[in-house]
Amino acid sequence: MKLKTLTPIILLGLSLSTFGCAGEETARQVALQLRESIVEDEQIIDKTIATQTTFYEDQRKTIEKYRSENIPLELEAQRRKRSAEAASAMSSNPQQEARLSNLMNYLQETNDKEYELWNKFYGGEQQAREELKSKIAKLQRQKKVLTQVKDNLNQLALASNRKKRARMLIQFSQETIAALKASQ
Amino acid sequence: MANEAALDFITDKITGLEIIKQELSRMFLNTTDLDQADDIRREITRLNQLLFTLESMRNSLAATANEVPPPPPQRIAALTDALRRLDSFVSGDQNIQAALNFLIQVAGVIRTA
Repeated sequence: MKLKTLTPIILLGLSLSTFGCAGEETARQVALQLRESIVEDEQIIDKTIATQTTFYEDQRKTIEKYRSENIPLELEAQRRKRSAEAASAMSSNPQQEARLSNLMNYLQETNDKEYELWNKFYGGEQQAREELKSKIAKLQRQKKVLTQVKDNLNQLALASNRKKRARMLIQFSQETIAALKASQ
Repeated sequence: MANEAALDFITDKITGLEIIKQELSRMFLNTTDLDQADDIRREITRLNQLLFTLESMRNSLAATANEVPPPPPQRIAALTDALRRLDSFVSGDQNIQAALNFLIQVAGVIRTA
């Protein structure tokens, strides 16, 4: 949120609390100016959301593409390593090692290890996807807050002789802007 | 377009590395030597990681509003030279180990360019 947006909000609050009807008219004028600033901010946020959404979407596709290419290769490398280890053990001591029970154990363990690896790789992918989703959601929330503030100011600029309502809306706008700043 | 030179440079790197990966994948499928297959698989995995980094860089660069300076002429020349060497590579009729060494070497030049 820009400083030029915050300053009129403070001025608006002061105008309403300090002066009477003249103050209310001043406040309406400031609200109109403030609305312009908010519209400007909104356009900037819209542009940021569009750019960031494209970036997150592209990045999600990039992550998926290389994960899906590397996962089978990494699994195969593990499989090769384990089979080489088993073959070495069996050939170095065939009398003891080359037995059906050992072979069955080896196959069972290999299967378990591969299952673990699949879980690990795809668990990471799911997490990466959710992180990107939450980043886009955060941008959407910021946009929603800004739209709320703009709606409040619209009401304030159009409503005459409604000082109490104006005060309430300004307070609400200040709170939402503070909440928005805190969330960034 | 902003950062066009830097984006083109990264795109050229990606294209070169993709060609190398394609060749390596073809060799991987055709080889009957298990040790050689291990070496090729390792190289493909490494290339995938590098390509992932480069594509992520390209995504960030396309999204940024900041101006990024174009790559220096020496780096562009090194990349152009490596891509030219890659163009001259004819797959299929060489000794597989020699082809592997050549591709790994060119990939190294593209990576550091």
